[in-house]
Amino acid sequence: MRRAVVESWLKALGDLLIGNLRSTMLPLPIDKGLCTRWAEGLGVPRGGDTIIYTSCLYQLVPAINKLVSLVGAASRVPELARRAPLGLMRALTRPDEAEAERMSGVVRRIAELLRRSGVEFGYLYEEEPYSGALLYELGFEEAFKEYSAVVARALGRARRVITIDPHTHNLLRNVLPKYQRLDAEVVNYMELIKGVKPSGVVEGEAVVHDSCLYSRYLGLRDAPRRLLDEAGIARREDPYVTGVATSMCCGGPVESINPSLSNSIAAARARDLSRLSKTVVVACPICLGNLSRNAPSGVRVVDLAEAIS
Amino acid sequence: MRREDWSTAIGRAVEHNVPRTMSVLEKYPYVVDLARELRRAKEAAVANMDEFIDEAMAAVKSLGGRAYLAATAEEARKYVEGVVGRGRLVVMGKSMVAAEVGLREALREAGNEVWETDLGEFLIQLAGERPSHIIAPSLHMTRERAAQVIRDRLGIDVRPDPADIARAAREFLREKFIKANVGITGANAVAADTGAVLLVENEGNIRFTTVAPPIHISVTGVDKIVPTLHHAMMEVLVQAAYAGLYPPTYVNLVAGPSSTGDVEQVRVSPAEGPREFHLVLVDNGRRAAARHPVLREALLCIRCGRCHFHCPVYRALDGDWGIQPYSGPMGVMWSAVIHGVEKAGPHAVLCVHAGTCREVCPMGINIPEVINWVRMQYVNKVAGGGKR
Ligand code: SF4
Repeated sequence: MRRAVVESWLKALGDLLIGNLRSTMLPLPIDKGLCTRWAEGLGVPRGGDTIIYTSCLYQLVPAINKLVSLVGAASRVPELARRAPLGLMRALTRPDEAEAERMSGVVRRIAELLRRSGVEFGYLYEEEPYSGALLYELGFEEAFKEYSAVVARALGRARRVITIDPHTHNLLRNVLPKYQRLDAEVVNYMELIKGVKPSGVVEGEAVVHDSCLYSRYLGLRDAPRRLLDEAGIARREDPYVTGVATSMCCGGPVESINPSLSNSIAAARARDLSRLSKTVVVACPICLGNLSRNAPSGVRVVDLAEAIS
Repeated sequence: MRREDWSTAIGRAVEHNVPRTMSVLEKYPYVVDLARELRRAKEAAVANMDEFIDEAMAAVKSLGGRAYLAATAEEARKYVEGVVGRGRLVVMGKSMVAAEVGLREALREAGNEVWETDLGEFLIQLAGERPSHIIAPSLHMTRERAAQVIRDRLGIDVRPDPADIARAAREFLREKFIKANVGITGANAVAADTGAVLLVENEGNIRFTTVAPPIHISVTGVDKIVPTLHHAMMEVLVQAAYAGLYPPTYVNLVAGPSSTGDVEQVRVSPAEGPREFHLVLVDNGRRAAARHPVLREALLCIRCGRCHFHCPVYRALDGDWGIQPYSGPMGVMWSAVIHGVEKAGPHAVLCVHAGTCREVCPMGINIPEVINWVRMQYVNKVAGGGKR
């Protein structure tokens, strides 16, 4: 991509994300109901000392998938993205219903796993803001700085925050403290659940695709492995494919800047993993979306929370 | 380059290099300790860069060599052109800084015959292509393509076999070494205390380049200066091991022009080697980076090329990531050092912060953090950091 094109796309993308975050605390124009759907019928209390923080990331994946398929065109004609009325953007990023249901299901399973492990928690429902991780990771530092106050305020009443994805966990652990004060203890759900069993979704062996953030920024490389072992799900490892320094990215972080690069990183990763097993276990919604879209046929990508129960 | 060619080439390279480097480090664990010690020495050199530059230049002069500090690429080219003159035959041993300042093209335009003698550089010179990896510049070329290039450009019959390709290049270049008027190399390390320049290699072309022609010019960055010869020795060992070949086949130490004291212990110069030695130290943004709290880290890079093999973006972008001749994770940092944030920015925004590069870097450089800083400065400039 030429430099001028990159720059005007960055501007358009920034406007889209920031505009949405300001009005809805979500980066894309999706219905808030999609974020909270997972909690229907579970009777999770509102707020409280310990809260689950979904950051709506799993729930956003279907819309992100849609957006990525548009970015290729939009980044070549940034004016279109800039000028597109909200209604149009909403229609263009309207998630596929089956995908939306699957993602809500993953979050619900995580909540159930926590409960079964004796962890009690509340939820902020429609007052839960998106973490802003995307803003920060794309380099919109100024906008992130401003938005981070919203996040800190929303989470400020809790004493313990349970994250369920690596981007949010990284944001709260490594990024937010540089800009805001957050007194709450931040833990990840994988550190809290125990006594897990196989769900039956994985037949035979599986291979773990590490989230870069969990593995190399957050010291949680062993967490998904411990849970799979506990559930008795055999995993294949190869020092040149699943090692700390050799497990490659899913390409997710550049999906909104350069989708073809993102897809080719994902395809290469999925190909490498598929040599070890036809079932790939991930623990991140972005990895789940990106690898699923680019996996060779016959290869299944499942979330950790789908593999265990 | 065709997409399939790159996939094949990078696939083979990763398959060969990654396990080899890992087993080298396992077998010679003291190299890992040396790397840590070297980092501390380089930190000191970067923190006091101007003093070390002065010390190194004075040391080279006291050895009977000449030392020149070039503030810009242009100054470096001018100085070297002045030493070389016109109508000369020049052989070059791989120098990334020479490529950074555009030396080969400048010398050619000034009417000299110039040959790259490192096999990879030689191949891409023949093909008129750009380097795709910092120490394996022809990484993108499959054996089939390399053989084709030699057949097409030199009319030498050669099979698509790495050994036969090496043979053809050797036969062609041998005569150039003998006849060359000037040899130009880079440097892996420059020892400030002694003025000694160290070069590590496996092909033997650098050894030829440093001794066969009557004039040797070493063109390198001021970031290559380390406090002592002891540290310079460390640097070549560490660089070789992390590049995946240990022990390296040759380590060349050059401390001034050749000399002999064999007749009545009277020291005369030259002897068999060059009569002139020039050290060209290039700044080109490095001294400013040395004062910068983030970019300073980039100056610790010893150019082992290991981060490339562990980078998903470099692998997916056909090696074309970063501003030439720098590529890969180190290349994005170095693009910022030399060309500034605005030009490096479009490269930085493609980083996926996988963090794999940081895991393998011998200097423990937090490469993703440096790149992230570049990205933020850039996005801030072009999109107001998202401020409205
Ligand atoms: S950044 Fe580190 S790994 Fe990469 S080339 Fe430099 S020293 Fe080697």
